[in-house]
Amino acid sequence: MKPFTTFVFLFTLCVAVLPPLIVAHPTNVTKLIRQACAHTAHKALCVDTLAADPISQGAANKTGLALVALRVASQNASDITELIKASVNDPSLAPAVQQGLSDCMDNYVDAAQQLDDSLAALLAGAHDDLSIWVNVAIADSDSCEKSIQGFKTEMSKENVKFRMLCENALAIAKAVAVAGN
Amino acid sequence: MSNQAEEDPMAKPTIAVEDLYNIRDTYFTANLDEKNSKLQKESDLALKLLDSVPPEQRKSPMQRATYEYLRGKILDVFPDYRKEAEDHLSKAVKLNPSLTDAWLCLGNCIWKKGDLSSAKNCFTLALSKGPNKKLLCQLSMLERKMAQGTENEAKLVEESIQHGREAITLDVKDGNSWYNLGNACLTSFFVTGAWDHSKLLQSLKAYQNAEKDERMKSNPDLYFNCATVNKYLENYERALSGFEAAALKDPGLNATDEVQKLVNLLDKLENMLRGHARAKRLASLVSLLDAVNLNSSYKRATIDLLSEGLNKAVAVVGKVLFFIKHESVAPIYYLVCDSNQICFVLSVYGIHNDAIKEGDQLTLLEPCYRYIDFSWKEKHYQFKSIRVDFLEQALVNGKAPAPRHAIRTSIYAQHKP
Repeated sequence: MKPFTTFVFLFTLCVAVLPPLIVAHPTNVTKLIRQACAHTAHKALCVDTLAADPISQGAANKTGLALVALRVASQNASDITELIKASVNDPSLAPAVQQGLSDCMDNYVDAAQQLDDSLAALLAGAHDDLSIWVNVAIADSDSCEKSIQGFKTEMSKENVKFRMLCENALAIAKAVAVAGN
Repeated sequence: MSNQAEEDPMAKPTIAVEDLYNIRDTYFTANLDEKNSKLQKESDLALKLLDSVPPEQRKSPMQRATYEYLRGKILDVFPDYRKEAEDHLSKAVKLNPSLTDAWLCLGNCIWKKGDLSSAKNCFTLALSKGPNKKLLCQLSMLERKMAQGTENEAKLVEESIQHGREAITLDVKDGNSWYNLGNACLTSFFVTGAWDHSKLLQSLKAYQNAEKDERMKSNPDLYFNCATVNKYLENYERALSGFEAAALKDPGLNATDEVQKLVNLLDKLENMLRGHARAKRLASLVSLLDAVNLNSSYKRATIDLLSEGLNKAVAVVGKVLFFIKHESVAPIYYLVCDSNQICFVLSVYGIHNDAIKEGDQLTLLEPCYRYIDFSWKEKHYQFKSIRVDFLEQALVNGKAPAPRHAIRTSIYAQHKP
């Protein structure tokens, strides 16, 4: 089996055995979730993500949903880090791919940290800071994408999804900043 | 490139100016004269190239504005103020008030002259035409300079931080903007009394983001300032590595002195701890510590029971054995011993050195504990450390120190206009 094929196989296997992040529960989609997701660019992902999170159901306002959206994005960054960790030392991978993945792992460790900072900023009502930290997390993901350019890996898909989760969280948080709840 | 040069007669001189400033920002020697003569040589070449643009190709107000701007920028590359540079840059902004970079250069030039409020006007005027990260960074830096020694210093530094943040929102990947924000947070740490740990952490985070930008790898000040933050956070190994990296990049930065100062301090701490850990008089010195009454909301602990970081609702009682003299302004170091006769280093921020004296009995509330353990140049350092950040964290001989013992320390991050 070629190194690339091995990696794709391993990665797909890892993704398959991980508990699914998004399970659509149409019955759980509250009016508040629909309102919050209306502000986002990736509405279907937003609705699925928030509906799948039990905390969203009890959220009294958009701030609560913004917290959930940021937490989901942060968790996604941590999950990606774990995924990479599981496959980065695979000896069948080409050294360049290993290096690229290792860089990605560093990027996602940082991204998770930045999103934790953005959670703290949201709780403190510091919306400018929140915007900075989410954008830095997106930039970290972009750096990962650069590291693996030219290699056929599942990482690109993960990067796209992570970016979408961040953009959604940012959009909901912006709506909170404007409306004040 | 050649097509562009044919279309735009100013293209080649513009590139020459960029190269000139690249030398200014990335070429460092121990001998300043050597750098200045290199800049002189390169600026002469750039001026020659600029003057080779035929007069008919710099006739229109826009072309003349660009010509004047480039000429002024070349002349302003040196660290000292040049009247001629200001004249050319002033002409440039009169001919084309939308030339943002000319306003930026003019502001920097006037700053060197010492006219800070006029320099600020240049930056704010240019910003009124639209947001710009370079202008915001310079304005942020200038505000810190203007804040020095004023009554509302902390408030002005907050404005500087705000402008620094605005620059980052324009480009979160720009290392220079992050570096500027790191400097602003570090300055804020000092002007607000040098006790707010979170400001140091914000500063460190900003510097770490600055380091992600490849272009910042050549900035020795970034390494120096980041090392300074690590020193105050008592990340000694990182501080030493940072100062060493800064010294390698710019021998004229006196970073080697900082390494030596820190090594001297660490050696002193080690020697004092080693010398007193076995002292026979310890038992008699600490015999009364167990009798000290504590507020019921605090749980008594000895240093060996503390966990790394902040220890909430915990108090450590100790005896001050020595005040440790060293070469930095902050923190103040003491050698302290707890009731188990275990000695540790106490670093104190934001409190005057006359508040705590040798022989005093201390109650440290919610102590921040670190176990220092690292090697540097084949020497191993290993000791326990507690830091006290502000007045309310310590009781001296059972009493809270008087408010007059709180201090403001003014130390400024190194940054160049």
